[in-house]
Amino acid sequence: MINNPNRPLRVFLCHASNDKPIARALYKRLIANGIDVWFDEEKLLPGQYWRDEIPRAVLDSDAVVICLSKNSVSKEGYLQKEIKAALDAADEKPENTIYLIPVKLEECEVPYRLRSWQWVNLFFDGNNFDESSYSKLLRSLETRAKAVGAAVSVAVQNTSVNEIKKPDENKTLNEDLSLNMKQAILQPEMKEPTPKIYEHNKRLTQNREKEVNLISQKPQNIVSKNIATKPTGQFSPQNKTSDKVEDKRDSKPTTLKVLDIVSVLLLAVSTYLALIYAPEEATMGQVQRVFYFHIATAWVGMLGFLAAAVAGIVYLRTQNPKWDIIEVAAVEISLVFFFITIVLGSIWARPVWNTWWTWDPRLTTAAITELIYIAYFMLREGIEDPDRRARFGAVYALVGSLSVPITFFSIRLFRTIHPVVIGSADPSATGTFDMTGGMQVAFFFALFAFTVIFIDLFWNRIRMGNLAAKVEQLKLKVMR
Amino acid sequence: MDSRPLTVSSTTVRRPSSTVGFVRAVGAVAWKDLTAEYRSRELFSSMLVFSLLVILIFNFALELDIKTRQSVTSGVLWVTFAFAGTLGLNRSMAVEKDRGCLDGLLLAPVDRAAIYFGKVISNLAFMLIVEIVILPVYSFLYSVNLFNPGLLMVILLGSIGYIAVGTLLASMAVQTRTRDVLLPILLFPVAIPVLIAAVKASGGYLNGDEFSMILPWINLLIVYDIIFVAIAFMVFDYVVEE
Repeated sequence: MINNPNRPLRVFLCHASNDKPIARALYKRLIANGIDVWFDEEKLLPGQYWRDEIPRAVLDSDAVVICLSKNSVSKEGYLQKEIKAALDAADEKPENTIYLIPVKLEECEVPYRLRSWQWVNLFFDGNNFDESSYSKLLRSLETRAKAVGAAVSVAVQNTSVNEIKKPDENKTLNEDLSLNMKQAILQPEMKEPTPKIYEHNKRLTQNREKEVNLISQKPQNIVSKNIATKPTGQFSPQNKTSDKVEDKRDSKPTTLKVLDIVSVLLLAVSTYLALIYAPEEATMGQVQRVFYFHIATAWVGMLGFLAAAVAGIVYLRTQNPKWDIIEVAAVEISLVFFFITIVLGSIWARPVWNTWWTWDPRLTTAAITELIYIAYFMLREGIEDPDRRARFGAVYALVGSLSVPITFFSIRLFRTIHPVVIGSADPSATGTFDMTGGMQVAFFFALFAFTVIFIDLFWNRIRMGNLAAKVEQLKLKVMR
Repeated sequence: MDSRPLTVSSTTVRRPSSTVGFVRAVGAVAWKDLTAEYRSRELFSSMLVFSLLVILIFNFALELDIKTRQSVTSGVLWVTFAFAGTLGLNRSMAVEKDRGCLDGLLLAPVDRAAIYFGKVISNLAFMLIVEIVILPVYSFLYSVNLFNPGLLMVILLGSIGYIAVGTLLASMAVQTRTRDVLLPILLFPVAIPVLIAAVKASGGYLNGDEFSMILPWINLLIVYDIIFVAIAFMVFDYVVEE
């Protein structure tokens, strides 16, 4: 594509043959605005091989306008192929590029693959389009034109629309050709690479689509900053605040961003409380300060461990891949936090117990938990099929979560030297102490801070898992 | 080789609607494995020779003189059993997977749980046979008397728990890329409670401890066995689902 500043914007008009009259009217309006519209009955020359021509035209266009009506949505036919070609081309555009513009010609259901793009309601009353909607479409095209360096004359030359002839009179050879051929030559296509992976991703997509629909109903998520909105009162709710056709589903939610910042602040405050604010312990001295984070990280590790087991059970019951993503997130976080707990514990144990490590029930249980988690990831590594990977992961998380408490009890049948600070204290434990006021503040604050940090990490990790699943899906699309 | 369809097809054609049918299906799966093993004796011989080698290596590694023997016998025995058990579990599942026999089994119109229990019974049988051979050999080589009804019961309970969870994990492991390498990694951390309890209880019997001291360990073994048989019974369907 050559960026000639004076070239007109190239738009591909994608429509069902039954909507030809309306499409023709739209074509004329767009032409009047100086847009180079690829409209099959005008651009296809007799004898041209249209099956080659149309995908090329889609690729050559700066934008694709997809006319949606009851006809086009439900109809099987070449239109669906055009939409697919347009979707594939849209995947290669940078995010937030206006490229696909679904246009509803009448009230109809938007195909789910197109729902991520903001549509415009351009209802046709037989003679005229709804003017305000049309100007919205035009503004979108204008934005696109600026982006690719093409020209659009916004000056509305409202001439040609009323002069549309009845469709029957206007039937050219070309249209006959396209109509007949389109219906005749259609063949089923789509070879899916691995049906299972495809199925899995399809389920994921469906989940995401549900979320996207929720988002798109919230106007504030699709407010465009670039283009001022003019209240007209005639729009459907979806279009009230958005002119810019935009896909925001992958951007980070504001709540999460706030939570990120809060987590960092809480960690800082908690560090201050643990290292400076809390009074020094009488017998153990400074090293006792490790305790605040030691317990807090162990608590988070337990939370993650529980979350993983619950997610595993829910996954097995529902077979919903969302729960698999949650499970992996929980296991990963738990793995790291248990490791931190063990390291902090060792630092404390060296001066107090006079050893880095001892085979105390809690230490052993923590170590075994780590080993189970590592085995969990090795198990997942070895399985290609995502459904089976998720199933086996869930089963192993469940088996592990049952085994760990029994491990703990079994080792506890030996005598323990690990101090029990909360709850009943065992007199034989080494390193027990009573918490005073300042210590309690630091302790409970650390618990709270790490819980928030856990939620934040958990959320971020789940989001990452969803994005990874999406990338996987796009890869498959390319392979197809 | 091992897994000709044998009796399976003839005995399990009916969908078991009753307990009797279920038991028959379990029996058929177990019988198939035992017959195959009886004809090849592959698994048994490798498990046995392996166990003897482990005991031999322990002899050098731990310098099993009379004093140490007292304290480490139960540990040595259980490590041997655990290793041999892993070998057996791997083999018994790999054989099913290799020639697509598992698919054939799954196609049989029986409850999937019946396949699981059949497998548990045959695996348990292999492990117990090896243990029955190993115990006298160990007694003979190290002149320790291992014929104690309590000890035999502990060995049975421990083997049940180990095989119950092992069969479940082995049927997962054979379906992965790394296959048999993965089984010990998956199994050992999960089976630690059963090994600890078994070692402690066996040690108690060998040292002639009072029954009240051994009882908590036996309780733990029983709890573990029940929990893991139950959970494996519930999730086995998901593991073999295609």
